[in-house]
Amino acid sequence: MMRGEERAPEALDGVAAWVRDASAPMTSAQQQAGLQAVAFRLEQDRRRRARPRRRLLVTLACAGAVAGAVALGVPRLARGPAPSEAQSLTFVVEGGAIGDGGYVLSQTPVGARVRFSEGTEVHLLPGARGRLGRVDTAGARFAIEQGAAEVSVTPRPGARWLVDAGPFLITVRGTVFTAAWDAGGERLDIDMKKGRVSVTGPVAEGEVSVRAGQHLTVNVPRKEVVLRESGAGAPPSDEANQGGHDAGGAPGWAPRAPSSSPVQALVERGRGASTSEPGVPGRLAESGRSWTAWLAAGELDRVLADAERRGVGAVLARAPEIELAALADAARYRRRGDLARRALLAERSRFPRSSRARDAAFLLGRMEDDRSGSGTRAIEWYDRYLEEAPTGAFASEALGRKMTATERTRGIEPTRAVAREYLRRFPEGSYANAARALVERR
Amino acid sequence: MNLCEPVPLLHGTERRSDVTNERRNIPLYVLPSGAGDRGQRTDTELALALIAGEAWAVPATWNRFAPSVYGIAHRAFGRTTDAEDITQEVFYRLFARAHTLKEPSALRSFVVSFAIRIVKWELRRRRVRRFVLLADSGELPDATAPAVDTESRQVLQRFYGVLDRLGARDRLVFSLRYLECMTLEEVAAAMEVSLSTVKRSIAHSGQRISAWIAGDPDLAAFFESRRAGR
Repeated sequence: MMRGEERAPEALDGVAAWVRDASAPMTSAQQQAGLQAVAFRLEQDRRRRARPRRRLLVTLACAGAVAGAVALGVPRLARGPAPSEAQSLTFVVEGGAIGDGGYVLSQTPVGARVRFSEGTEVHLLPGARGRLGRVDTAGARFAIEQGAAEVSVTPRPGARWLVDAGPFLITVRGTVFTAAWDAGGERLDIDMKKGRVSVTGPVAEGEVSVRAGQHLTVNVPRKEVVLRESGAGAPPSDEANQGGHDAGGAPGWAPRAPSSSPVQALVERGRGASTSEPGVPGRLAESGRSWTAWLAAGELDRVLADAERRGVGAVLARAPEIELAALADAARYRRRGDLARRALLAERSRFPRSSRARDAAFLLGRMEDDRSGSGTRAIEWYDRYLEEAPTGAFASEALGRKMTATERTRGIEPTRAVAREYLRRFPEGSYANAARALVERR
Repeated sequence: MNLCEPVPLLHGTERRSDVTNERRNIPLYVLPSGAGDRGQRTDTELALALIAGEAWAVPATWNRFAPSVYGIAHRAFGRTTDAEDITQEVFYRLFARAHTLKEPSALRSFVVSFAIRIVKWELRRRRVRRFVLLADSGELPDATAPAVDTESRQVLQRFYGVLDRLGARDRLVFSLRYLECMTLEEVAAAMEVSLSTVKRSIAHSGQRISAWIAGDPDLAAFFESRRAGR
């Protein structure tokens, strides 16, 4: 015993130091496996918590023991999990790691896969980088920062999946597509395999609908929007010929050629598309197809021609809101700014309380934004949209665009306040990096 | 000579110094390679995101703290499988109760407290099982570190066999003080006992472990040779 007391401080320190050194640190494989195991247990718990409520209701109905139900059942019902906790999707990352801020980096030659509990999968192809943002009951928001991702969204009622690709926002329901964002070349490519997505972002001016079998290319520096049928074949590309463009490793990913006009929205009709010519007689009701359906099919000229046939003034004064929105979209895609502006203003004046009217404020801001010297007007529209729809679908982009417009027209000092506001509201938003740079700039 | 420098494990909210990490060979922060400091959040931001139920906060918290928790569990039990199980248990409970975190700036303390509480509970459970059922730990811990040689592995097994003879509280106090390098005050805070209790426990377990090591010719010879070689 005495001997032990004499040895205690120094000898034990030495023993402990040796044990510490011999202790193995956690390996990355253990980390990955452990995280997945924890995620699995949490998901199981979530499902278990949801089940007792249903079981309880059955028990209550069958037993008829009112006193027992009050004593046992009511507290359990009242204690039900918070909706967000109970229904939020879970996910696991395979072949990669996820870090702070949801940053996903592929660590295998085949890229990283983010699998969600309801079956949706985002496959970041090799070399691509992405960031997982919000995950909730309806879906998630994922940002492709560079490179290509294959997205397969499981159709569900009420599902809401958003994919950011640079400054573009892709709104998805049940669908399968590949999206690629080349940050260096500021170029977006979407190849639709199944379903339909809508894309908003610069150049496109509002929502571009891309359906199965179509390929959308948006080249920001050249202000080009090219929507074509995948089967129509892509024209040869200078960049492709030179082999100088890499969209992040997407197999068979060939850049599309720019159109000859510097600012042009080009819709190439494929084999299955309608061949109706502008001005074809027949009312909407007779044709059986609405302007929105034509719009979805890429038949922009048909919408515009029909509006002209009916009389633009009459349409703006009397057409239902949905047709005004379709007309505005078609006009914007065809770069007919004046007509688009009139349609959007008509939406706002005739349906001032509608969500489309609120969105019209944002779209008007974007149109002003693209006109040289119209930054101040653009900011006014963005402010109006943010005031009317502070949590609207375009809120992040409106504030981001306001930030860039403010910098352009008013200088750095007033812009910093907007940038801070952006970071406060959308720390993971598409403009967050730009906002941080503005805040930190001296 | 005290090889165990105090480390502000319970009270620090930011990363420990690289020197400490290097010495202990424990990567406290695990970020995807190439991510660098991009998007690196403070513990407070991480805690707020966790409380708000933001999905990214779960893997981010795991990546940041799991290696530390694993290290604590590994050094407390000496067995890889136990360390993995304990680490998962800690984070499973942590994520389920993240909303109870009152001080976001104290996320690290929250995690470590959770870990220590679960390690303590598990040590007690095993001791009781051993006592009642004469099972569960008739065997000594398995290989703890693939990196060490066979002799070292056997020594580690025998050393943890010695620790098994301690009561749960004494063992954990010893582990936190000597293996986690906590100060006496930190051990007291982590164990939610008084400083004097910790001191008594350290003295008591230190004497007993020293005596047990001295009574094991192989262990005594191994550590003696290392001491002489140093």
